[in-house]
Amino acid sequence: MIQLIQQLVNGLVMGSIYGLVALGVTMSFGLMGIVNFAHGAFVMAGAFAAFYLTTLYGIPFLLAAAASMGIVGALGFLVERYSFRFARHEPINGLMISIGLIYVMENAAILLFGPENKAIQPLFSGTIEVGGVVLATQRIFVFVASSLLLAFFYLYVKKTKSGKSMRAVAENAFAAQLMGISIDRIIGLAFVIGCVLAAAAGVALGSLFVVTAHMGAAPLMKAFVIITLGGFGSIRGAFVAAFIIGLVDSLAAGYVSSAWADIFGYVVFILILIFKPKGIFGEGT
Amino acid sequence: MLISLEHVSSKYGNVLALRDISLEVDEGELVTLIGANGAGKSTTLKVISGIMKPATGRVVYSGQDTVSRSPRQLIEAGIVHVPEGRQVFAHMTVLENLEMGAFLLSDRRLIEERLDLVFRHFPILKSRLQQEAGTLSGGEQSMLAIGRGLMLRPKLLLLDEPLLGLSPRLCQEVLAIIERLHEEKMAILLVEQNAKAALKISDRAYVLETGRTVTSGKASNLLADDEVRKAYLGF
Ligand SMILES: Nc1ncnc2c1ncn2[C@@H]1O[C@H](COP(=O)(O)OP(=O)(O)OP(=O)(O)O)[C@@H](O)[C@H]1O
Ligand SMILES: [Mg+2]
Repeated sequence: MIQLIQQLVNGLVMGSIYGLVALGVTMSFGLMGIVNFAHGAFVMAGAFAAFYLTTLYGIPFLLAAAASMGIVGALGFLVERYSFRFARHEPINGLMISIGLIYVMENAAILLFGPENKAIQPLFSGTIEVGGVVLATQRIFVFVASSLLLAFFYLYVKKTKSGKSMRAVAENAFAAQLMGISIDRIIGLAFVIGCVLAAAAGVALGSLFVVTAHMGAAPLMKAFVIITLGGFGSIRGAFVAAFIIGLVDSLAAGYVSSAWADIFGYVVFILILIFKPKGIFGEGT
Repeated sequence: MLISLEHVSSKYGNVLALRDISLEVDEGELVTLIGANGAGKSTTLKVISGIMKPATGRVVYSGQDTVSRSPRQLIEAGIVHVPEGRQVFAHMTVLENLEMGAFLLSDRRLIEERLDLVFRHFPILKSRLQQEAGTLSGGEQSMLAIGRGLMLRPKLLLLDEPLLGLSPRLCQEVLAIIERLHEEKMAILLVEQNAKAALKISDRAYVLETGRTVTSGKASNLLADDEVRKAYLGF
């Protein structure tokens, strides 16, 4: 029982991180029609920025996390403005750009910081015990912080004018343009937000596991599974799917074998696609 | 003149869609644009709303050439384009669609006022506010598309085939609303396949053929002219 609860909690922690990554992928796809394979590199960049600021400069964790989100957001701004923007009408070019970016960013990270594994000093080091279940405090913190970010994002997209116009552009850019909405600005903004959330995921992962140049690949694969499962372009779907994948992975790791953990996520993924080919929520937000 | 196109041509890539379009709409006038499929009616509206630029010729709105103005600036100046095929935001609610129509407004009170104005024309929308636009009937979606266009209270309203796919009864309803907007002194450029119905409520009309304005005149005269009727109106 205790082990079950622990696995469930781990699943929620991972699910909340995957959710952060998936949102950026789903926005790039929904707004630009680009499958951004480089999105994992922004996760990595976020972790490296936080590592650099905390370990090398001794900046407090929360401040470093915020700064990392800002830095990666700015990086995302430049990348969208000066590369993806020109690929919007040629998805294949977007694909090439994203693959090129992976190489550039990962190698830049190795050049700048060296190839060895790194770790971000977590904000909390101890554990807390709730009813006999022992949980790492940092994990709980990551879950709470990531969930808050997801909730903020949800409210932003649902309730604010800017969030609504983002949905409008995703649905029908032509009509949105006729309302006076600037497609360029919305897409740029969405890309930056996606990168900021990716950086947050990177900091979270880096504080729980290790920081490496290739650390973005695994959560990115999860993100692809999640947005397919949730229904392309569906934010609600992505949230639910993120937690499903997080839970399945962690239960499989706990009860079957951690070596096989990833397989189970894909099995559930394939099963759902067989029975609900448009994802759990079909299309829609 | 509120707007005038002078010998406008325009291209999609290398395809010449408009060859020689000249037309005018005066303040408060209701003008209809008729022509066969592919004649260039929708393209003409796109040139007026600035989402396409003329290759040659001039578009003059309120005395100023529009060539250097962005679509957004033209919307701010009062040109609203309600596109062909409704194009509502299907997964957004009716209210959100209308809010998007008012994207350029920030005064909350003004937006509320405009909502009331739209509900006056389309009471049905008021009872559907929280419904996703994609689940509205075709007729309701048409009304939403027009209503969304009215949120900015345009000086010049461009309507691209608003009657498409509507039942005869709904056509009458939408036509009545267009007439009412006309009475309120809104200038309207109406593109319509249903030429007879459109001409009946219009002041003037232009006939387009393969990217050219070939005939124009008072709507009543065109309706009465047997040759025009046979050649262009199809009844
Ligand atoms: N996006 C586009 N790309 C290339 N050519 C286009 C495009 N849109 C329209 N055209 C061409 O431009 C010409 C004029 O098209 P337009 O849509 O203005 O016609 P229309 O009069 O509105 O027709 P309909 O009654 O069918 O709506 C047509 O020959 C059409 O094939
Ligand atoms: Mg057309």
